[in-house]
Parts: sequence; C-alpha cells; structure tokens
Amino acid sequence: MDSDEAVLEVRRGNLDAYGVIVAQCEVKVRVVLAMIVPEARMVDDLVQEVFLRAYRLLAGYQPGSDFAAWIKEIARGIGLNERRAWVRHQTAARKHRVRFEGAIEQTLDAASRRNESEALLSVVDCVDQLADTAREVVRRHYWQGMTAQAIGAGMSRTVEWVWVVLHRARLSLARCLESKGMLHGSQPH
Amino acid sequence: MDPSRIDFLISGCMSETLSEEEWAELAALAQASPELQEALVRCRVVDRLVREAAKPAVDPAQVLRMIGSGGGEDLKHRIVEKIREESGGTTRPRTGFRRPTRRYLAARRIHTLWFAIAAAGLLFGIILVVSRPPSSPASSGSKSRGSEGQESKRTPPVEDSASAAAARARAEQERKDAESRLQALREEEARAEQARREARDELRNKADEAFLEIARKRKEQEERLKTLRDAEEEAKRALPKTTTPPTPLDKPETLAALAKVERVAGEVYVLTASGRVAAKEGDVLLPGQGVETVGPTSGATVVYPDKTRLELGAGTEVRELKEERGKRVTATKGKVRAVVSRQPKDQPMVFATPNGEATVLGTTLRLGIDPDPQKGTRLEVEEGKVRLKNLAGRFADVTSGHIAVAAVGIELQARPFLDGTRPTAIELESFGTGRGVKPSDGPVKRLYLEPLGEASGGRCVGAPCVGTEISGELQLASGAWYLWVRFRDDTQAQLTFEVRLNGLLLDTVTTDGKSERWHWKRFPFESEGQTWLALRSTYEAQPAGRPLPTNPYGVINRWDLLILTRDAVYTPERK
Repeated sequence: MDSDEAVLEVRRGNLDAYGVIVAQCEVKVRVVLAMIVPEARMVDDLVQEVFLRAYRLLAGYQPGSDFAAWIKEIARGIGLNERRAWVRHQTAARKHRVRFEGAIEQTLDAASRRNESEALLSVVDCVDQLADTAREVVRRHYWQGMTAQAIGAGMSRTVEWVWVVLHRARLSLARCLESKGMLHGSQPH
Repeated sequence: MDPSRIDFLISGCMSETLSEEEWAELAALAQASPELQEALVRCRVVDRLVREAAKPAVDPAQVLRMIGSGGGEDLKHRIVEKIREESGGTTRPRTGFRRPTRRYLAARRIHTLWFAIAAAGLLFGIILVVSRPPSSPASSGSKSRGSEGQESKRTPPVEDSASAAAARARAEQERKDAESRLQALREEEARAEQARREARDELRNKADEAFLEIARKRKEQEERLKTLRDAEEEAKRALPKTTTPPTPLDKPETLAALAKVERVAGEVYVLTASGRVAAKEGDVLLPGQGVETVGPTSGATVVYPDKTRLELGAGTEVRELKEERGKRVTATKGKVRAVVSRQPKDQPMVFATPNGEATVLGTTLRLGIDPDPQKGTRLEVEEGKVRLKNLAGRFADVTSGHIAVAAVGIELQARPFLDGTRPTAIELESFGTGRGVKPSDGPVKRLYLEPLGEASGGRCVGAPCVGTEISGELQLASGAWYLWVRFRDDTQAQLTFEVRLNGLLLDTVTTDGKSERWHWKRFPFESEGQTWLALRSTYEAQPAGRPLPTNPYGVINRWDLLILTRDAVYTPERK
C-alpha cells in the first residue's frame, strides 16, 4: 500500500492505514526536524506532533501530489515554531547561544529544504570507512551515547582530543556523503 | 582567525560545550562569514544525521531496513492510538511513549539462551544460600547467649561489668554477622532481580518465586538485624561506665577514632568499607570512613577532637577521612562549610575534590562540589587563607572575602565576593551611563544596559525603557539574600519590569505611572554563589499607540538603585 492508497483508506475510516503512513514517513520527518531544531533531543517529542498535525490536515491533501513533500512541509513548520519557542524561553544568560542560532537560521532553513533524508542510507557506510580510531570514537559518542569525558577516560586521552577527533570525523563524513551525492552545498570548513 | 580556533569552536558547538563567551565569538564569526555559516550548518547536518542513524540500532543494516520498509512500529502504534482517542474511538491500553531500543531487543534475542542457563544456575545457587542456616556467633563462654534463629530474644539483665562487656561483644559480633548476611542477601536479590527481568517465560515464574523468597529472607534478616542492634544498645547501656576496664575490643576503636558525628538531620549515612549504615548523633568515624547526606533536607556536622567542624549540606558526600601528615577529606559532591582550627604548620588540612584540592591551615570556608568538571569546585573563604589547586596543577591563594573556582575551562583566580555583613548598594545610573561591558575585579563583574530587541534600539541610557534590560554577574556568599529595587515612572503610563535571577523570574513589578514617587520592593532569593541578575522591562506593559520612549539620557522611566543584603529586617530609607 503506498501513501496515497493509505490516505484514501484513512479517509474511508480505516485508521489502521495511518500506521502505514507513519512507518513510511517517520525517517523523513525525523531528518527534517533534526536539521531545524536547536537541540537534538527535541526531535523525538516533535515527531509525534507532526503525525498528529498531518492527520488533522489530511482532508487538505490531494492524492497524486507528493505526500512525502507534503508531510515534510508540516514537519518544517512545526520545527520552525519549536525553534522560535526555544528562543523565547532562553534566559538572558544564554543570549549569545540564541544569537548564534539566529546567525545560522537562514542557512539552516535552506538546508532543511533540501532532500537529504536519503543520506541516512549512507551514513553507516561512511562511518565504516572512517579510520579505526575515529570510527571508534564516533560509535562510542553517537551509538553508545558516551560523553567526551567518558570516551577520553576510556581511551586514556584528553577531552580536547575527543572533540578534535569528532570534529574531523564529521568533516570526513560530510565529504563521504557528498561524494555519494547525498549531501549538497559547499565544502565544509 | 586561527583555523584551529575555528575548529575548536565548531567542535564545541556540536557538543554544546561552549561557554557564553565562546558562543558570542562563534555568533560574531558566523554573522561575518557566510562561508563559516555554511560550514557550521553542514557540520550540524552531519551531526544530526549520524545521531538519527544511531538511534534505531547498532546494526547498520537495520538503518537500511528502516528506510526501506518503514520501521518505528512503536511510534506507529502510539500515534494510531492517540488519534483513536482524539477521534472518540475505542481506546486500547496505551503503550509508553519511550521508544524501545532495537539494540535491546536484538541483544535479548541473542542472549536469551545464556540468560536461561544463567538464571537456572542462579536459581540453584539462591536456593543453596537461602536454605543455609545463619552461622553461629563467635562466642567462647556463655552458652545461654546463643540466639540463633531467635529474633525476639533480648539480652538478659547484666549483673556485673564483666558479663556486660562479654554480652556487648557477643551482641556486636551477632550484629556484624547479620549485617554481612544481609549484604549477601541484598546482592543475591539484585542478581535475582536481573535474572527475573531477562529470563525466558518458562523460567520467569520460577525466578519470581526465588526472588520473592529472597526478598522475604532479606526482610526477615533486616528485622533480625534491628533486633540485634537493639540488643547491642541494651548491652551497651548496661555496661557500668565507671568500673569497665578497657577491653581488647574497645581499645583499637578508641585509639583510631578520627572524628565523630555531632549532628544528624534527615537521611544520613556513615560510609564504611563494607557499605553504608545509617548514622546517628555520637557515631565515631574511623580512618577511611565517610559521611553521606541524602535528600533535600538532610545535613550533618562532623567534629574533630581539635574542634575542627565540617558542616555538610544536603546531598553531600565526604569519603575517606584520614590523618596523614594532616587531616585529609575527600569531598565528591555537595556543599561543605568547614571551620578549621589552627593546624600544625607542616600538617595542613586538605580537601580533595574531583576538580582540585584546597589546603587549609586554619580558617572558615565553604566548598561547593559539583561532579560536572565544567562546574567544578567552588571555594568561598570567610576567614583565613586557603590554597586551591586545580587538576592542571595551577593554584590560587584565596583569602578572606574571596572565592575561586576550580573547573575545566575556567581560569583559576581569587575574586572578592559580597558576604552580606552589611547592605551593599549598586547605583545603576553610574553603570548605565554608557552601554557595553563594564568589567570589574570586584564582586560585581559587570552590569550593563542593552536592548532586548529591535524596538527601542537601546536609546534609553541608564533607564528601563521598553525593551531594555540591565544585567550583571554578582559574586555572592551562599545562602539567603534580599534584593531591594528602587523604581518609579513619572511620565509614562504604567510600565512593567521583571527581576530575574539566573534566568528564573523572581517577580514582576508594575509602576504607578505619571508619578515622581519612588518605590522600594524587596525580592528574597537563595544564592548559590555566582548569580546572574537581570532587570528587564517588558513590551507587554507598553500602552497601544504610545510611542516608545526615546529620551537619550534616560531619566524618565527608571529603576536607579539596588541594595543587596542578608538582613531580613533591613529596610531602605524611604526617600
């Protein structure tokens, strides 16, 4: 069942068909949100909200147009709203953190419009191509959720060393994803 | 700009570890350079993509499957359930919102067999342990004191000091045996709990039974321990104080006693090598032992023979009290106020913390220890002189009325702080006559005026025009404080402003409007040392259609004086 068929099923009252839509679009929604929100941990809570909003607006969707693009636009709207709410709730003590988000907002917005959700397909492959040490640090940080302090302690290195390795690994991953046509834009610094 | 500095800033940005100054630097660079903006965004995109890729599973193939066939069964069901609820449909039991990790599910499948085998072995071991009768106490003479299995049996009346001492020794031995058995049962219980969670269905019922049996035994043992403790206390009370000769059991304790617990409030434990036991007033601390306070209302006071006092705040842990070329205390978290008697010159008292150590010859000080290396250890010296050394080996001599912080990324230096012994007035007019940072080495690091938004553009100098704020960092002694603010508004309609501390709203004030009368308002707050104070004029109070104030000298709508005091009954002059 493709998305359009699922939409028609939902409109006929078969609510279970909406599960198909959720399953097919979750990753795309997650990637859009992840690019917009200021803090990564906000993504999980917003995914559910996107699908609920999409359900309420489902009558406005025209089958035959691009459902994925439609729901990603909803995700962008919710992500940007949440971003603005985040700015409003920051305290004066964090004003420079907020200023930084303001400085990159337009570039971020442009990035979130690009179709880079497919890049997830290649992330793991690119991680596997990293040098051994970098790969190990990336896995500990992202897959095992370890802090830089914990990684440094485990590998008998300083925290600064971990930060540098992570930064270089991200640059390598960006180049790798770009070479696979999964990432767009100019070369990173 | 040094490329390595940019790399450092971008890296810190991704890991959210930058200080506010570094965020400011990065924001300025990003605003000036579109190339850097692009680089930052690309780094963030990669960071977020890797995070999302890492979320579903450790196995990379699962990421591919998730993209291809659509994973997230849990999310799908949650949303369908929620929609059903909103649609007024039948409501099925909701699953929790927490996303079950596939790594966990995969690991469970792979290790199921091992869990089954381990659980069976563990069950057998548990049955052996719980069915074993408790060992006999090490009693050499008195057969009538054998209290094995007789939980309710109390120590009989003691007729003479010798028998009383023997009774005490036996009671103590029994208590120690019971403690060790209880510890063993607790460990078994924990292992059984683990097995219960992970065993297959057919073993789960048996594991449940074993778990319940051990829990029952543990409760019995706790009851027994309580009874034995009571018996030991009774035996101690019966021991004649004047005639008791020093027994071999007492001697080492007396000689080795390092300090004692003088005051206990709330949940407090003595930390020993074999675990922790509930502390009570009068408990003696031996070398190597420590004290832990648990919960927001807890606290304790430890006193050394030379009258040196350690006052432990809530949620504090001090370990390994020692006497090695001077007193040594390892403080791992929480707050400690120490009144240190004059120590021998070559034997200073040393407080070791995760972020550095403080060396004291005789003084009154406060330590705030945060295990987070970014927050570190904060030292306030009320009286005397303390040397604080950080992990990098740098040190600062901190004298009376000064503070220093040993933490990652913070320069170690002694700075004065307000101790609150007398009210301190801060005239905002003098700070506000020019915009920008006003650095100072004093307790007020900076207090300056800046616009909140674009509306007024900061044209009001030294006054709270709509959309402006005055903020600054204050070094205050820990504890209760009172902030008095003087304000008025003689030309505008009512103006509202907020007083915030460390970002939290203390209170809101609305002026009378069109009145030259000055008002004072008091804001009580609790200081934990470094305090960020902000007075912010809000947009909401601006009447519709009224132009924003543009007076360049800012003498119209304003607050002009702050007074900080620790005196609860202090009242400013009403002029």
